[in-house]
Amino acid sequence: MNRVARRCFSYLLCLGLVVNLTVFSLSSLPVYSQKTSPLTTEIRGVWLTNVASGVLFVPWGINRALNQLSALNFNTIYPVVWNRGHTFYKSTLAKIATGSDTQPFLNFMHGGQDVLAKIVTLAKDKDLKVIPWFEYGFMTPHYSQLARRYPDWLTIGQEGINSIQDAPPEEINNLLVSKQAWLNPLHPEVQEFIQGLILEVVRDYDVDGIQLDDHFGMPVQFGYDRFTIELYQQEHQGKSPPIDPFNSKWMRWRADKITDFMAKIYQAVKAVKPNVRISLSPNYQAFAYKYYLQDWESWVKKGLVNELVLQVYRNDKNSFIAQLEQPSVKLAQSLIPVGIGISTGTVGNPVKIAQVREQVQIVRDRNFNGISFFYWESLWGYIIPESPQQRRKAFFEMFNPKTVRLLHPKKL
Amino acid sequence: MRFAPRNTRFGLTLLWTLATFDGFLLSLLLIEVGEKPDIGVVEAAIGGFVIALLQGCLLKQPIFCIRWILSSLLGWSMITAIGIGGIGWIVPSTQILPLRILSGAVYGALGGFGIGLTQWLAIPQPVVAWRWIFVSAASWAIAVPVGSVVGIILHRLTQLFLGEVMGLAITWLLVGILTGMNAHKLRS
Repeated sequence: MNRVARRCFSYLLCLGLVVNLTVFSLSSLPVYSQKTSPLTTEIRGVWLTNVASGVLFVPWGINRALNQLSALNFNTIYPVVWNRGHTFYKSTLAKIATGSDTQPFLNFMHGGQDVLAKIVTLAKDKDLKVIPWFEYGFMTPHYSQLARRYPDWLTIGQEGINSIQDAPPEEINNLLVSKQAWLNPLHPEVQEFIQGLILEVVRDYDVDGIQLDDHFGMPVQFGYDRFTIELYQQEHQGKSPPIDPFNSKWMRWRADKITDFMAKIYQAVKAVKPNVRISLSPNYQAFAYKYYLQDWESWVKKGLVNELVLQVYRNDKNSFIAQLEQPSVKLAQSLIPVGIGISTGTVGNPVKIAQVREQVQIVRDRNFNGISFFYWESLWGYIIPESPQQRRKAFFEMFNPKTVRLLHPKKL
Repeated sequence: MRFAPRNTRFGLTLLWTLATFDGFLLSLLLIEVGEKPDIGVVEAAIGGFVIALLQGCLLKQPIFCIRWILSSLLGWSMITAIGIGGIGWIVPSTQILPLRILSGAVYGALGGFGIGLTQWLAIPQPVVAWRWIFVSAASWAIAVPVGSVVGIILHRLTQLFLGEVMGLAITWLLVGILTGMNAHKLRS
């Protein structure tokens, strides 16, 4: 009896399973399918980084991310290619300088496959623009091979201070990496190395641009290394740099040197691929110049930047709006496409979707050219206040075809 | 197929707990935790399969292992299809603590009963099989509300949905321990 009952029950359940899998497999798929033309919409970007994020490492992480982004009508990704002294693509230059052609763990997880090549191939299939992001700029950890092998490439502050408390937003709570060394942006060998990395990416991959960020500068307290002092003395009749790092002429001299290097990069990139976009994602001008000698307003005026994505990671609405209305931003808006970087949160600072939605609307109301979100893991990963599905629904509503904002042709 | 120390009850409980918990962690690579409507039959079937696969490795005979996996897959599909939900991967939508405890106990008992019922098909010994249904129901009835409460507390403290996922991990750990305490009977 027991055996007969079990058999009948089994048949019944198996039948039920087949029916269920057939019916529910269709209904459980996401309903995000209305695609918009990538040429007619605002910038809808996201930064993909390796820190506090598994997207580049876990199996199917990249495929899943790009599929979801495409389905939700995103159109641009900024994948990290330079972080903590390592490249995230196969780099001959990095191999020579650091001994590793790719970040070792990334290389291990992908079995030696070139991750940037994979990203580019997958993204092109999904109509996503790829703008590799040199996240660390001139910053490098003290423990990195680069810092160890080339100590003369590093710039320092007065009294031999050789590091700065700095960290990208996603690792702001990571005490192990918060002290950073800084490659000297004025040093010709550093310039050659950094420019070389950028050109490798532009030359070897079908990318739409490259992006530099707020770390592409020099902390104002630095510049007291031997090379910089001698260079300064050569150009100032043997005088040493002022003791005050905030001395306006001293600041201007160093900032102009960085601007000169930016011009070299621009020319070199355009010589290889004229249509590749030079994107910059800085902090607001006053901060960028005062603390990092990054005079991006001049860069925009000189035509050294094709796209600006201003980082405005603010929770307070008024503070957020104030950042968008600064004269330097308005000037940039009149010259090049300008997008706004919005924080979707970090582990230490989760951001509710209501705030993200409100900030997107503020950006749209002020006729910016789009938005980029920092960062992938907090779009709809688990480090958010709401469920991942609720977040995706919200992004879908923000970016569905009914809310598409057409860009003015001259801005494209 | 044999990874458990020879008939050591404690050893098997430990391994069963590890297999269940690791199965859940592994399932997170394939399934995204969400609210009840977000976890469909397919997701529940995949999750159930992953966990049963690891648990099945601890059973003695290969045929038992295969039947265990198939019956578990069936169980998870069934409870999701009939509206109980994929309780191992869902987070209650309510933020009211007593409601969470109550619904967690009720849905946990129902879900555990459903899974136990289909696993009953795989267990060769009739007495053990009948008993397993109630072990499963009781384990889930206890584990779901406990995990749910831990989840909401962590969610509120951190403001991260990750807190709820950790609550589910607690649920699975408890389920692993409670069912694991009876798992030795499956091997007798």
